[in-house]
Formats: sequence, C-alpha cells, structure tokens
Amino acid sequence: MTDYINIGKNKEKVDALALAAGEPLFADDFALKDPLHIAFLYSPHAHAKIKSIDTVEAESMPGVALVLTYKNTPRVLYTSAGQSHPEPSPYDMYMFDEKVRFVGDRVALVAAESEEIAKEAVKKIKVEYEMLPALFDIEEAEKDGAPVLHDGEEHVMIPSAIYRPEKNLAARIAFLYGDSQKGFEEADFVQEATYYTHIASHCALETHVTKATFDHYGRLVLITSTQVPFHARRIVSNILGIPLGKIRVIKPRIGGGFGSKQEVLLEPYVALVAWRTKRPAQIVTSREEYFVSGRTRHAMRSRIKMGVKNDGTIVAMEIDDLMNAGAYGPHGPTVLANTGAKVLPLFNKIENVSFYADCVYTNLPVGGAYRGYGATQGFFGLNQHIDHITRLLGIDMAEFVKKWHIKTGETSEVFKAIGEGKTGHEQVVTSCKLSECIDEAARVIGWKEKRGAKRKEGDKCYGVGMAVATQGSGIPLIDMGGAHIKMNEDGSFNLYVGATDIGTGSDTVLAQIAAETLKVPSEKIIVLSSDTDLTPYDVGAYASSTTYVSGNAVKRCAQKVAERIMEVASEMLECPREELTLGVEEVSHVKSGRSLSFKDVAYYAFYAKNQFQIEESASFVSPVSPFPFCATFAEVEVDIKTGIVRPLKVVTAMDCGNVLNPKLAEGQVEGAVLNGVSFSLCEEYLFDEKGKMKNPSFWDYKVYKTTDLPEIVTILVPSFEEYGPYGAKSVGEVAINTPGPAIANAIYDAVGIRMYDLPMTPERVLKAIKEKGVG
Amino acid sequence: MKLRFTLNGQEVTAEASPLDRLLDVLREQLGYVGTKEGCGEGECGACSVILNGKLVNSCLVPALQVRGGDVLTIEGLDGEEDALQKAFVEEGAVQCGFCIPGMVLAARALLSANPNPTREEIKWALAGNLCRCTGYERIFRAVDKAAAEGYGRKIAAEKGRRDNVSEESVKLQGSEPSRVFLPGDLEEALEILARYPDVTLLSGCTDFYPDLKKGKPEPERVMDIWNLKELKGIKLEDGYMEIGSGTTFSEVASSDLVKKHFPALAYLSTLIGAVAIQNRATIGGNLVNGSAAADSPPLLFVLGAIAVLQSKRGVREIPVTELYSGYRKTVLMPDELLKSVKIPLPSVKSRQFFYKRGSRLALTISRLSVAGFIELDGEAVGDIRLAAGSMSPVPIFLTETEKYLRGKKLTEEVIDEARLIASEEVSPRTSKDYRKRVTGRLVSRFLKEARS
Repeated sequence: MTDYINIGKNKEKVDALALAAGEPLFADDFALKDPLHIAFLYSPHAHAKIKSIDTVEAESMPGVALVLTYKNTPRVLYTSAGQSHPEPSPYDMYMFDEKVRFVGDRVALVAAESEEIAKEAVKKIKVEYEMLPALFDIEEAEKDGAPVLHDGEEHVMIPSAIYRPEKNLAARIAFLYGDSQKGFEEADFVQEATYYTHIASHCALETHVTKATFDHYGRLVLITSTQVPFHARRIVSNILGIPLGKIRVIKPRIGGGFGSKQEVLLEPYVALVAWRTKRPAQIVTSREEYFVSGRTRHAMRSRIKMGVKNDGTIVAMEIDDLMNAGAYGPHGPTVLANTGAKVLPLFNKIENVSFYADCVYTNLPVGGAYRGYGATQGFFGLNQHIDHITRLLGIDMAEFVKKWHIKTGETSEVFKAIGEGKTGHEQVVTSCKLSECIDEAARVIGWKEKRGAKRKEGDKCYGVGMAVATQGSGIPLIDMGGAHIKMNEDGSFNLYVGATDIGTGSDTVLAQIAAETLKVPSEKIIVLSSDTDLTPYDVGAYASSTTYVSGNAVKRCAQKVAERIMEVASEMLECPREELTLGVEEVSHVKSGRSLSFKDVAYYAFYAKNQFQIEESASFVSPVSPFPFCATFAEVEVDIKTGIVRPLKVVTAMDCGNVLNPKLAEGQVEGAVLNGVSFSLCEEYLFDEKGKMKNPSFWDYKVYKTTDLPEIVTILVPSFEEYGPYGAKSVGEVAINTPGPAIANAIYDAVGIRMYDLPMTPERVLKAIKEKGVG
Repeated sequence: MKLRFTLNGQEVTAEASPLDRLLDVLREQLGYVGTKEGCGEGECGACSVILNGKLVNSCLVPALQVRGGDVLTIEGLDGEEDALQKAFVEEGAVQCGFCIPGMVLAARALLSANPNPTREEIKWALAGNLCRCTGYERIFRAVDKAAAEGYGRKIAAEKGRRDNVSEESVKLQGSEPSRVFLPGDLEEALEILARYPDVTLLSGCTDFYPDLKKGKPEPERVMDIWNLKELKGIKLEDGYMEIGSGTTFSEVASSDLVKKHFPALAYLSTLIGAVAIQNRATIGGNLVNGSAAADSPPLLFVLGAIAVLQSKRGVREIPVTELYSGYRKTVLMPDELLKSVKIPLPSVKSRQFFYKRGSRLALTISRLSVAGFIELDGEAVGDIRLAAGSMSPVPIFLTETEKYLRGKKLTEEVIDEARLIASEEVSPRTSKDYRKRVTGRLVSRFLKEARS
C-alpha cells in the first residue's frame, strides 16, 4: 500500500466549523441593499390557456416595481435542466407562456419593495383561463385524442433524439441485442411483472434561493443556490440576451441539492427583474413552492419479463418502461436512458435483451434530476424480479447475483448502445468488488440464518432482503471539470475549482487530491470553488462526477505544478531535474544530500531570478465512467395487523474504489440509504382529482426523522479504479438505489407479499396482506 | 413595536411588528442569520433556538412573546471552543450544514437537561430536526462524544451569564395599543376579551403560524396569554385533576401526577410533536383549535374530562364532549376562554389507552387515533368508553362497540366481535378500508391488554 499523507485520511470538512457556527454562508444569508422581492403567481389549473391577463391593478399598487407575464418577457424556448450544451432535454419551456400545464406552473411574477407587497399584488392579477382537458395517466398519454401539452415550436437540440410532442412523447430510448423472442422460447419458464415507482421531492433543507445584484462595472451578479453555476450563467445569457461576459454566478454554501438544484429554476427571472429595474432583486422560495413548483423524481412504470432456464440462466430479458415527465421535460431523456444504461449492464451475461422506454408528458409536477437519476427507478423492479426468480428456482439470491453480475475485465452491449445525450461508449469494467460487498453485507445482516426463517412474534413478522446496484462516475466525453493552482511564498497553494460543493465535501476531497499530488498536508491547500468569475469551468455537481472528473482535473493540475516546482529547484540546485525527488514539502537531491523546502522554492520563483509565479491549470474529460457498486441487505418487521413496516437494520457495503476520505464517503452512503428508505416507505405526493398536490408541507409529506431510523450500517469495500484519481470512483448516488428493493424483498421474505408499488405505506402493505390472506 | 430582550447574553433592542416571527427578528432585524428557515411550520427544526431555557422553533414564536426573554442562538456558542460544535465537526456530522445550527441547539437543550443521554433519548430529542444529508448516524455520534466530554454539566455551570433586561421590555407604537394586548393577569385578559370579542388569543402558536401560511388572514386584534400564571399548572382537587389550559405538553408529559393517574395522557403528550413543539403546544390550544387531527380530544372524551370556561361574567363547566359544534368550531362564547381541563380521577382498577397511527412513527398528524377507558367488574366489562379521532370533523364515541362489550367477559370471540363492530363504526373519507380495519385492530389490542 502506498504511503499516502492525505488520501484515505479522515480529514475534517474544510467548511464544517463555519457551518456549525452558523456563519453567513448560504444564499439567503447575503443581505442585498434595498432589493426588490419577487413573488410568483402560479397556475391553479392543470391545463389551461390564458385568455386574458390583467396586471393593471397589481402594477398600480404602491411599492410594486415590475410585473412580468408572457407579454413582456423573451419568447425564447429553453430547458431548465442544467446540462452541458447542447442539452439533451427538450426545449419546451418559456419563462412564461400563454398556456399553463400543471398546477404550480408560472403565470406571472411581481417584483416589489417587500415580500408582503409582492404577494399581495400577485393576488390582484386577474387571469381568465380557458380550461383544457388535463392528462394525468401516463398510459393514456400517447393515445389518439389525448390532450396534447406541447403544440408549438418545442424541439430538441440533438437531431437523432426521438421527440414527438404531438404524441406527448418527450423521449424514447429503444435498443436490443440478440433475439429475445427466441430466448423466451428456449426458456423453461417466463416471469413477468410490472413495478411502479412514484413522484418524490428531494426535500433539501434549504429551498431555492436566488439573489441578483451588480458589480462596479454594472455587470449582473447572481448569488444562487445552484448545483450548476456555469450552466446557469450560459442559460440565463441565452434566454435574456445578456452577454455571458456580463454575468457572474456565485455559488455560496448550498443547503443540500440531491439534483433539485441542477435546475435553472429561478435565475432567469431574478436576473431579468434586476436587469430591467437596475436594482438588486431576490426570491426565497417557500417549502410549498419547492414541493409544487420545483422538480421531482420521475414516476415510472417498469414492465419486466425474463425467460429463465431451470439451471438459473436468464436467457432473455425484455423491459418496457414508461416514465412520467410531468408537464415539461427537463432531464426526461437522460433519466429515461439511465433506467436502462445504468441498470441493464449489471447482468451482462443475458444474451437476448430488448429495452423499450418512453417518457411522456402529463399535467403533473415536473420531473428532474434526483439522486439515482433513473437507476433508482430501474433497480426497484429489477432487484425484486431477481428475488422472485431465485425463489422460484429455489436458490439463494446472494449466490445468484454473485455468479451473474458484471465483473472486472468484462463489458456490456449496453455501454455502446445508450449514452446520456449522445450515443454510448464502449467500456470495460476496470474495478468491481460487488461479490465482496454482497458477502460482507450478508454476513453482517445474518443472511444465511435469517432468510426464509419466517420468524413471527405475535402480530409481527420478520424477514430479510437484498438488492444490488451500480451507477457511474460522470458522463463520459461530456462532463468536464477544470482546476487552477497557484503557489504562495509559504508553500501553501490556492486551489480554484469550478466543482460545486453542495454539502458533499468535494472542496475537502479535492484539496486532499491536490495535497497528495503536491506532497503537502491538505491544510496547506486553500480551496475556492464555483464562482464563474474566479474559478475555471466545471459542469457542476451531478452525475456522480465530482470526485472522479473534477478530481482528475485537480490531480492533473497538481502534477503540472509539482513539475514546475521541480524545475525551479533544478535551477536553484544546479542539478538535472531527473536527479531530484519530491518529498513532503520539499525537493531533495539524493546524490548530494541537499534539499529545498517548498518555501525556498516559492521565494526563489517570486523574488530571485526569472521571476514568475508557480501556477498551472488543467481540465479533464473522461472517456469512461467507472462504476461504483453496492449491495444493501435489510431486515424488516411487518405488523400484519396494521401494515406498518419497520426496517430494523439496513446494511450497505460499497465499492467506491479507493476511499479518499472514509468519514465523508460513509456520510454519503448513510444519507443516500436513509433517503432511499424514506422514499420507499413513506414519502408520497398526493393529488386531488384536478392534479393539485394535496400535501405540500413537511406536516403531510412524511420524511424519515431520527425516531424512525433503522440501524444503518455502512461497510466500505475498497477496490482500486485505475482511471480514478488515486483509485477513486463515485459514491454520492448509488446507495439510494438499493434500500427500496431490499426492503420490498425483505417484506416478501417476512410475509410472502410482493410490493409492486411504491411507497410501501401501511395502507398498501395491509391491502396486499389482506388480498393474500396472510393477515 | 420596540422590543427588548437578551440575545446570547446581551441586551438587544429590535423594531418589529408584534406578529413578526422571532426567526425574522433574528435574521432580518438583527442580522443573526445562523438560524435558518426550512419550512416555516415547525416541522424541520432548522430555526431552533433556545428561548428562556427551552428549545423552540423560532418560526412559531411571535416577536411580542420574546419581550424581556432570553434567547440563545447558534451565534451565542463558542464555535471552535464549544465542545458540542467541535464534536459535530470532528465526527463528520456536518454535510451541507443547513440543519446543523438547529441540530446543535437541540442537542444542547438535551444535554443541559440530561448530560448522559442514551441513544434512544438522543433520537427523541432530535426528532424535530430534519437532516436530509447525513442519515443522522454521525450526528448521534457527535452528541455522544460531547456528552462523554461532560458538555452537559459544563453548560449547566455556565448558567446565569446574561444581562437583565431593563424595565420596559416592550413598547407598542402607532395603532398597536388598540390591536395588541399584553394582559398581566387573567382578570385583565377577561376584561379585554369582553371588550373585544374578536380578539385572537396567542399562546404556543404552533397552529397559528402554519394556519397563516395556509392562507388564513392575519387577525386584526391579538392578545398574548402565554405568560398568564392562572392558566398554568396541574393540581388535584375534589377527585379531579385540573390542568391549566396554558400548560404545555412538555409539562404534562413530565408531571408525576399525570404519569400516576393518567399514563395515557402522559404518553400522548410525548407524541404531540417533537420537543420544540411539546415545549410550546398547550393542552388548551390543542382542545380549542378543534382540529380533527388533534391528539388530545379523543382521550379527554373517554376520560370524561370537563372544560372549564371563564369570562368576565363567570365560570361554567361543560363536558369536553360538548365543546365542539363542528369542524374547528367550539361552543365557546366570544368573551370566554378555556381556563382549564378537569379530569375525574379514575379508579385504580381502570385501564386507559391512546394509540395513533400514521405512516411514520413520530411527529405525524395522526391519520387515525383511538382512545379507550375501561373498568372491569370482576371478569366482566363494567364501564367502557372508546373514541376515535382524525376520521371525522369531531372525535366520535364507538357507542355500538361499547354497548356490545358492556357486561361481557373478554373472551377471544368477544374481542374479535368488538373489533368488527368498531371497524364499522368509523367512516373516514379517505383511506377508508385501511383506517376502518386498523381502528378495529387497535380496539382489539386494547381489550387484550385490559384483560391481562
């Protein structure tokens, strides 16, 4: 094992103390001087045309500065998805349109001297709607005669993408290899089932906040709660026609994102208000707005059909996914692609596969990026399906998965077939310890003893279940991150990265990577991230990319800086560069026994001869997207009289490559696991018959709290990923994919009922128990 | 109004509207932005502060109730020198950090009352503080670590380090004196109520602000009754336990008297919400707001509680069962307020129970609740009362089930029949099958326990 001085160490998060002290670090903590406050008017209807809109009374209210509607805002189509240019998501939204497409769609905004006035003025806007029939059922969306949501100039930027708004089709992904029909004929039995995952909210504790002000050149400065500062700058510029160079986006500390802030949701509006009025402007959204008008996890129906031989070989697999985009399509095509691209390769030895997936518009809240990004939806069904098949075969699922999952050195047809936005890329798995993960987690849960034991105490039944998953590390040949490092006289270094720390700890991990490469303790690295004026570009915090993509950029940059240091030292010591070695904060010449501290080198470079500052930049884009793997085993208690499912213990073993910071990595896994548990058991959007969300508050939208917790155990099973910085792969998303299916499989183990439908609320569980007659 | 209070040990003055939330006074008036807003309805805990020694959600405290008070925010802790904050940093409990100031203060409130909590006690103490990043495990470890370092004892010794607020803690301005009333005692409050029957009474405000958020208009006139001594306290008198309407659920839950005579009420009080809610929500508010989802009415129904109503004209007593005239409506006259609740002391051989079920264990507005009271006469059922909440505008008695059970021996068959009858007696509008079925199950569970 290499003797690392930073890698693998539990370095404290660089911003932890300031955050724990409540310092003013979040977007809403920055007080603007005399800002305008913005309030939106939202559509009360799921689908309607605006016949007339009268803003006179609102505009004449004292304290109102500006009212914006479709009549006085740019008629520019765009997508709010914060993705690389050209975005794969359809260009299907305007800032305001003459049509509203879901309850919570934006109709108008008011900018006023206070939040109260703005809200009051919003009530004074008179809108006459012409009601249109609404579409809520995904199964109806593509049928003839279904209400059409998008019937104008909406289009996609990627010519090869399938986009048929006239059929409410936001995206279609299909591919096949082998001959699944033939495979089914060869099978000894065919197992088919349909699984449903639901709409959910990210529930980042900080809602969306955007503030706009001006710098001393009169440029627009946006301080915003975003995961994608550079995309936000580009998209705002494109919509508003403000030159990109006149916009600066600053990402302060972010109160959680989980995908919700990979969305350019507020920036264009606040920017436009500021630009038009020449005054600072801001909006701080409420929890209700976050639920209703923000983004959600796409709901999906997944039909899985497998042909199986009695010896356990899966000879054919057919998957038919139908995903709900909601009213607009941000991330629709790519989340849809991931339901296959991230899921199918796990069982790469199936020779005949057909995958067919549609993403359709409905008049419901808008889907978007959400941790797991389609993989969560896909793995829910797949893991249950495998559980069912292994039960029919009478074999242990753990052993089955170990035998059939993709291994190091192997590839999958799927890699070539599906990419995110562009086509896929051939790729070989270069590190995989999934089998070891399964063994470890199985041991800790007591798999062998507990599975099938049917333990029962009174009304309580107990069972165990497992699930496995993978994800990726960035989007190959698309995601790019940049880094810049400069050296100071004392041998400390400034590290500038576009990478966006949204609470994940990436600033810390990237400092560790730079420090390791430069052979200094990470405390010598001063990180500044995500300011479009000051830092290099980065795509932002999404697609599990930061450690891997931005980390490689940092490593590459630090290597270049180290090289500069050696060159200067070579000049100072008057000996060839090749004879020098880089030590901890020093360069030494072994032959002569002489050495120079970094401080000596820096002073020389700054002040002695051929003066210059030691500094370098680098970017990184990856040809591959290394796969993290995880296995989750859950033990549950099912009360057959009330239907309450209590997860008792959830054990997750994770292969995220070489672990750069164990404490932070474990924290990522624990957070993802609990989010997965909560998503699967209690979080739920409830709609009335008109498509309005009935429970847009933490009172009624249940999120797991401390008292609901199972025992959560995290085991890191290190591998070494050759493409990764110091062997690392991603860790942020993958573990949200497994708790749901592991719990569902555990419920089956306990009471013999199959939960096809999420969330597994007491009501649904009790209904299934009743139908099965086990209660 | 002009407001004076102690903030982190020092006297401060703020200009605020009486109904401004403490959260806004801190963030906007005084620039103390360490206190965060995550939901604005007391469900996430990001805005937790310690007010007069108790953990509260600052989004549910009106500015006027802070007059002369003692507020501790995250800025009042010592940062690097504070063993609790340090433990959060060292244990990796800080991810995005948005929930952390509230979390730290909730942990501090726990440790000052209970320096060596168990893991279970930590969970309950932090149940009102949502975190979406960490999975909580590291937060628990941080609290454990600070406890092990003697943090609780250390801060207990620090108490008393505060400025005393000078005489005048509040000054109403402009039209405020005709709209905002701060009575010094009950008599004055009744006088004001008689004169302004439209006045809205403010106590713990745990329903008040969520209602405003849902669009209820801000009241024209308000009167603060939070501090009225006459409305607080628990005492035994003439075979009754009398609980002042302004008594908080924290006080009810920790009262030895309540625990002894009404264990079901003590238990219910711990389920009313997280600590910060229990510290503010009052039994009177819970009753008078008449929310269908309120916890205490079904239990007070079966315990035969009496509402003591008082006005300038005098006192009258009515059974709690007759308190409601409809959904969120009571029979209180405009000049009356609920002074207290009197509950007849039960016989030693009686049993009582309260269950509630939601899709989450804690902090749920109950999707259904069932309360029961039983006295066995030998082996046969003597007195029995059963009530169900959350499924109708007002809690209902399960009269058919009661009638069936009276005089019967609690055999398996009888209990099973009672279960079926009970499940048919409720008529929830949503989740019908589930709530009916579970109501029956809960009744049968109670009967089985009563038998043993």
